[in-house]
Amino acid sequence: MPKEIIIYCRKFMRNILFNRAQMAIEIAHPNSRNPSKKAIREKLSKVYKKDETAVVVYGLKTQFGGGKTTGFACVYDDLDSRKKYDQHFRLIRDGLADKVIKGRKATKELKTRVKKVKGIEKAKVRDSANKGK
Amino acid sequence: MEEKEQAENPQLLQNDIETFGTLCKEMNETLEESQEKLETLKEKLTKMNETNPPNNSGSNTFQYIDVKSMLLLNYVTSLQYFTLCKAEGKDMQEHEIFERLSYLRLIIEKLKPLDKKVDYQIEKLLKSALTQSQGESVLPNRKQKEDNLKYRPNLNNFDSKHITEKADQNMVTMEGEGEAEGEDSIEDLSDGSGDEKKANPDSSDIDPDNINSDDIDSDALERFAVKKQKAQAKNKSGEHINEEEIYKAVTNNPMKMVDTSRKAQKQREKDQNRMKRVDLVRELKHDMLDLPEEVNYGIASGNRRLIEQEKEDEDLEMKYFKRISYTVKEQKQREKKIKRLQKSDYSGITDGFHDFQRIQEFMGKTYGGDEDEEMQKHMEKEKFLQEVRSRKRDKKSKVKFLDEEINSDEAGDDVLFQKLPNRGNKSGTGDNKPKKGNKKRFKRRKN
Repeated sequence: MPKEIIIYCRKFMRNILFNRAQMAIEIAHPNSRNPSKKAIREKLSKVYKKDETAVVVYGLKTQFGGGKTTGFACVYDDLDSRKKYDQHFRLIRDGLADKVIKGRKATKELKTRVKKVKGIEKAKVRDSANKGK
Repeated sequence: MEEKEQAENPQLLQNDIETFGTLCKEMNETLEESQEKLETLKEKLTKMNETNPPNNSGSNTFQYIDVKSMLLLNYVTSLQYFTLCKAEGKDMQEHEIFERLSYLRLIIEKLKPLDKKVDYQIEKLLKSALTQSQGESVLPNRKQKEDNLKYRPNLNNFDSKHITEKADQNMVTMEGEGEAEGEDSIEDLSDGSGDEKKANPDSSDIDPDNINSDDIDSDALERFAVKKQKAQAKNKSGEHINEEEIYKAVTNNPMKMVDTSRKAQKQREKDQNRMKRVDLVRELKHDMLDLPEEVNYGIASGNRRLIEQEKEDEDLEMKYFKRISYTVKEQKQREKKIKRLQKSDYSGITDGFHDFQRIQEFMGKTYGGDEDEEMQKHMEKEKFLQEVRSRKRDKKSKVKFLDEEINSDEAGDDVLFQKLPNRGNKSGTGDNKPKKGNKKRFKRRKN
């Protein structure tokens, strides 16, 4: 069965500061399950003629009964601008950044060390701790 | 003795004789003058007493002058007697006359300060007498006012209100001494001066007619004088404030305290608005009143809030390109609401049951303002409770109560029974006391 997906873009806005275009998406997928983010990204990149990796899709919610989902999308100009401006957890979702897994105790110790110091030295303490690792 | 004196001091005698001569001359002259003056004084004073009603001040001065004149007379006569004796050449070393002379002299010197105070009055009296005799064309009222301003300030003319205790005493001591002299005999003064402080304050009041010199006490005199003054002041002052003019607040109808606190009002308005939303009330409104209906399809009362919130959420999400997340607490509440709605799908029946409760609560509420309302509702409540209790006491009625509950259609989904004592018996039997375990359950159900 062919999976038809129709995407409607609403509330389109061109955000120059972040080098992106942000919009709200409405996807109609009758008689099929919820579309994956990948599929949506492909479609959007074709439409706006940008890299697949530069497109972000998030906040998808399907209506009760199926057939319709609503969500949001950001289409960046480049991958680089995306890496620069996009939120960290979204990059992690797409595999473009690594999650830093520190032990619970380690983070708490770092926190106490940072608290004792004031101002710019906090950043120094953090860097030294990270370098140590 | 006489020959010895003449032989020893002939010069002193001559000197004495010369001085004696001059003194006699002076005495004669002064006597003549004083005689004239006294005559005139007497005439005028008698005239004053006849024409005008005798003022207390005037009478006091008259008495004082009388007394003073008598005193002086006595003194002068005794002096003359003394000179006579000396001229005859008697031995004056131990003579009775000296006592007399010294006594009188004492009194005169004690009266000297009083003399000053009375002098002013005497002068004024003389002047007024002369002016009256000369010209009587001026109106008496005007003249009185003018004369009053000319006079020296006098405490007696003040209102009785202004008289303080100290002022009373000061005035009274003056008046007391004057009156004492006029009424007492002269012999009692020397004895009275020492006994004034020992006088009893509880002695009876004085009558001006029946005065015995032995019965008078100084404190009683003072009180009498104060009374007189106050009576004087009242009679004199024409500006006597009537009691009608003084404002008195009305005390017949006590005003009810209107509680303007906004809290009670706010609560009342809140509850009224709540009742408007109740479906039952709205239906009743449609039935009773002839207002046009407002129709809302698909929205039951319980859903409205949720739907509104959902709308709001959507708007926000669209605005900020973000999905809204709730805290765990809020999520649970929402789920509860949704469940409730899902449970009661026959919305018309069960919602009304809930509304009945609401209406009852609303009717029973009081907002602290009106006491009458509170009393009424309290009485109604008590009545209802009494009925319920009386039902419960009767054993037979108890069973009926339960049966009614079971059979009624009004009890909807909210009324559930887990265990009943006798389900099969509709008529009712004797052993229908619920067991202890059942009692607890019944109680819970009520809550």
